[in-house]
Amino acid sequence: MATSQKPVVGIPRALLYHRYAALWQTYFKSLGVETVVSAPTDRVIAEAGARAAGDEMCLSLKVYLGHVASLIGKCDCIFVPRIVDFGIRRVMCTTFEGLPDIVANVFRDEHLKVLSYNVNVQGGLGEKEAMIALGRELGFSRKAAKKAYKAGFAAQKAADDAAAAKAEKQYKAKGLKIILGAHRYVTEDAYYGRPVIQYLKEKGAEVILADAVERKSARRAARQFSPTMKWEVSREIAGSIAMHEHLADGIILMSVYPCALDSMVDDMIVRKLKDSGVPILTLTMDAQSGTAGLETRLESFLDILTLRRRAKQEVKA
Amino acid sequence: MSQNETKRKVAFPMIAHYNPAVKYLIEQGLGQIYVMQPAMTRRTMALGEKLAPDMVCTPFKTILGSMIEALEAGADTLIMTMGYCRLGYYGELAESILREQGYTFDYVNFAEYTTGRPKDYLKALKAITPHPRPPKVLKALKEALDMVQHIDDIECQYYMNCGFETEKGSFKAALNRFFKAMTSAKSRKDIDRGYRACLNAFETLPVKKPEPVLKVGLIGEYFTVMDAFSNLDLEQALADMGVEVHRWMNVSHRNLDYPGEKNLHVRIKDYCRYEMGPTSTANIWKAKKYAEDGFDGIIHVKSAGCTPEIEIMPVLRRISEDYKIPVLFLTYDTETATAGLMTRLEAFYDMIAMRRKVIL
Amino acid sequence: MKKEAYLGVDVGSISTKGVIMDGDKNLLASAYIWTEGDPIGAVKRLIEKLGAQFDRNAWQVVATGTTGSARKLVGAMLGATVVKNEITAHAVGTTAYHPDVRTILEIGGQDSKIILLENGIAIDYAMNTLCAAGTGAFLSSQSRRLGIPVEDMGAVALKSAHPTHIAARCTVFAESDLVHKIQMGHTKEDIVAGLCEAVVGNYLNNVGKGKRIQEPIVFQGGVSKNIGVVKAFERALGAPVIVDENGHLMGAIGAAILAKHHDARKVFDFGIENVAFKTREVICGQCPNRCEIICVYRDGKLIDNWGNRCEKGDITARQAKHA
Repeated sequence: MATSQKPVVGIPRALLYHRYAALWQTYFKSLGVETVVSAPTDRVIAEAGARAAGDEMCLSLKVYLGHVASLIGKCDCIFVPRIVDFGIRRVMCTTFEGLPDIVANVFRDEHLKVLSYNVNVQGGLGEKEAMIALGRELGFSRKAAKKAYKAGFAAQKAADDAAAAKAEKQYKAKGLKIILGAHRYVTEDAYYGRPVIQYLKEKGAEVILADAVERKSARRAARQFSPTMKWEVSREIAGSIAMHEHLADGIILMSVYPCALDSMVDDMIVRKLKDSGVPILTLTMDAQSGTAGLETRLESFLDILTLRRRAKQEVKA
Repeated sequence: MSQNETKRKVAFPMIAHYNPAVKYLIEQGLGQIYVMQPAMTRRTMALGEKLAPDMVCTPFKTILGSMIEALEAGADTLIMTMGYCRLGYYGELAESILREQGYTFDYVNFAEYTTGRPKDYLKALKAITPHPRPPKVLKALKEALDMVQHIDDIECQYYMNCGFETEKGSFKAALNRFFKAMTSAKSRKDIDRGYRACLNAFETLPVKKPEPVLKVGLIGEYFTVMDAFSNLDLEQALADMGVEVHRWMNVSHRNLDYPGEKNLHVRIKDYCRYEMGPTSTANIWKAKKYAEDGFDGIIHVKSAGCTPEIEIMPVLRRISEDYKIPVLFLTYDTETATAGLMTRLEAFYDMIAMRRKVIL
Repeated sequence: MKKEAYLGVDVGSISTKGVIMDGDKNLLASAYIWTEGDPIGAVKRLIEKLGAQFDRNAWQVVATGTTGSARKLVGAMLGATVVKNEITAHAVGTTAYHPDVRTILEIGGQDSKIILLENGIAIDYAMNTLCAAGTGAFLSSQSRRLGIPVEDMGAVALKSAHPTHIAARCTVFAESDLVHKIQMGHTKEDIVAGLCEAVVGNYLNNVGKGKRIQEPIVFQGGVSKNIGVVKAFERALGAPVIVDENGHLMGAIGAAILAKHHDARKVFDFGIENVAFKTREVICGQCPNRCEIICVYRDGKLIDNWGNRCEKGDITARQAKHA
């Protein structure tokens, strides 16, 4: 077994890290592989990303490349999984299909070593087999890799279940309930998404992440909602919104510029919910450092929701 | 229902020059009437832009606009294709927008029938005609696909040669005759006759090609690189400057005779470990091939926000560095004025022409 | 016998530039004026200024080149022998004075571009794809907001030790960010210096993306007059940046040199002051493309037209038919 020269694996704290942190961390820990995760996004990371990335790339990909840049020199390889799909109408954004090669080509002069695993269910490669193959590539036995995956899978499931349970509880809360429909890598980003959530919380709102949901039910709900929607994460978000919109005071759809999926999905959500009467705010974030413009929009949205709730209560009373 | 049931009036969004083949299949194979909307114009773009979400990729806007123009032209049934990227979701969103605008029509969205079971495509067929006769359908389908290959072949030859014609407009006239013949074709004989006539014309029309000739290869987003309206007639503009224009990307090459992802991928493994997107492998391979074949330049074409094409740009830059071949990146949005494009193209032409002079 | 001279005119959105050169690349006359949204009027004033600067008895302009965004219109007006895009004109003009230049940075009123050269030949270039963010127009609008004349911005920027960070990807975002920063109490010096850095950052992230910027580097265009931006470039690139005293004229110089090398000859007479030039936009109604055709008239006679995309709108053909 390869214990002599295990590499230090660098993990960018961006994009799918925010979806799979438990899986990845537990997996590497179980194998005894040392990892280093980049620091939460700050201005330096965001700007390094903008410099490295193509101008037309989406903000989240730019941020990701900033995280990669920040890991250079701190590890032996960078962990960049490739996740294409989980089956028919369960595909990921093409960014996750190309990510390992985007990283390799952008940082070619740095001679980065990219460590990856490849999930492509329609092509016959499931997550489990992919992560076992990764373990083999790192020099571990199939048995050890399988065990590590099992531990990682369990940890991730526990984390996801806990998040979904927390959200279900939030839907029963008394305060002003806002569903935040956004990719996890947007809501969890310390520089772009977190401040928005923080602001809403400070104003007393109960912010519920749409993608914190029992995924299978959400995908089923999305099928009713929009039959040909084919992106895994969009279906979770849209399905969750369809399941819970009647419990919420308002919905915020937050995306980064220019998000390919949200450019169509957000429009569809707004269309389908037009008759439900629930107010929806769409926010698009650019590589902008100040949140001055956002605050004004958030504040007025909160005002509307508060007034609506008061009016409803008066009618009841 | 009786055999004399009223026929459907079927339409398909305008996509490059392929609509005559769709018409052929609908009329000869399925026995319905095909409604051909007018060629795309600024009005098409304006119609689509008004109703489409702001940040969706541009082809959605033109396709939506051309669906409206088909309905205006009297279509009662719209067909829409599936697709690997956002294109696969175009159909449902477009329907939702059109219904909201009060249009009434039957809709056959192939994305709905993409279930992994090929049998389900038969259901789509039945949605167009209740009693399809499989042998007739298959025969017409085969002939329509042959027509697609003829169209691609003629277009390839046209853009490689029209810039060097000695009688101005002679190639264009032959090309227009060809498209007219394809649009009115009712049998394989008609298709073959039109195709041969055009080939013959191209062979006999006088041309004067300098030696060596400047060669530019076009790559990029599937729709925009093929559709002359969307790319502001880029190929014609280049040809008019006296360039031999090559474009591999078309339906024949990508869908009918595709060498296969695996076969192509081995040829670019120095640049990519994996396939990066629906047309990425082909574009990267072709860029490398143009470079190896001594082309003078490469132009990469895409609509604004086309994620897969944006994401192969770092790879194309590496090829440009390694082979010292200039790559011009063009991004198209709903802008229909050509001034900005012409400035870039003229400069690109000057650059490759001067390089050629120095190298020789 | 009069000696041969060449006229080059560069008409941009903000400024109009012109030179008259002899065969050895010496400037006989030069002028730089504001376009003020009226390229025809600007060119008339420009020609008047140029005509007054050199000895018309000793020299004769035998060829004329035009460049810049209004190159076609002005080319038709002046009867140009060469009409060239501004990228080629700048490359040709700059290499005439700096034969070893490897990188040309250019920021003008609406456009910004980068040209990479090897042995005097352009090998790669790029132009801004997005909006006018980070160009001269952006700087002037911000200077108005700050109440600092645009020509003083460079000097003001040099006084700052801590440039304010400003998001300049998009003019709209930059404006709101700027207002925000002013309200937060940043000093004007720091904000102006921040703007200069934002222009450079935006340029390098957009047109400069993926380009190997090698020395010698020449910086030109209207914004090269701003020393704050020059210094910001030098900091970002870690290399000296050359600003030629004639940098603002390079497009016009390139156009004059191109006219000289081109075969066509046509003696230019300076008597256009009293000629009436008019342009008219005709929207062709022959098909739904509704092409906007620009017609140029000289003393009421149509001398040129463009903007038409198909044979249906071919004005000269139609006129020929009527004639």
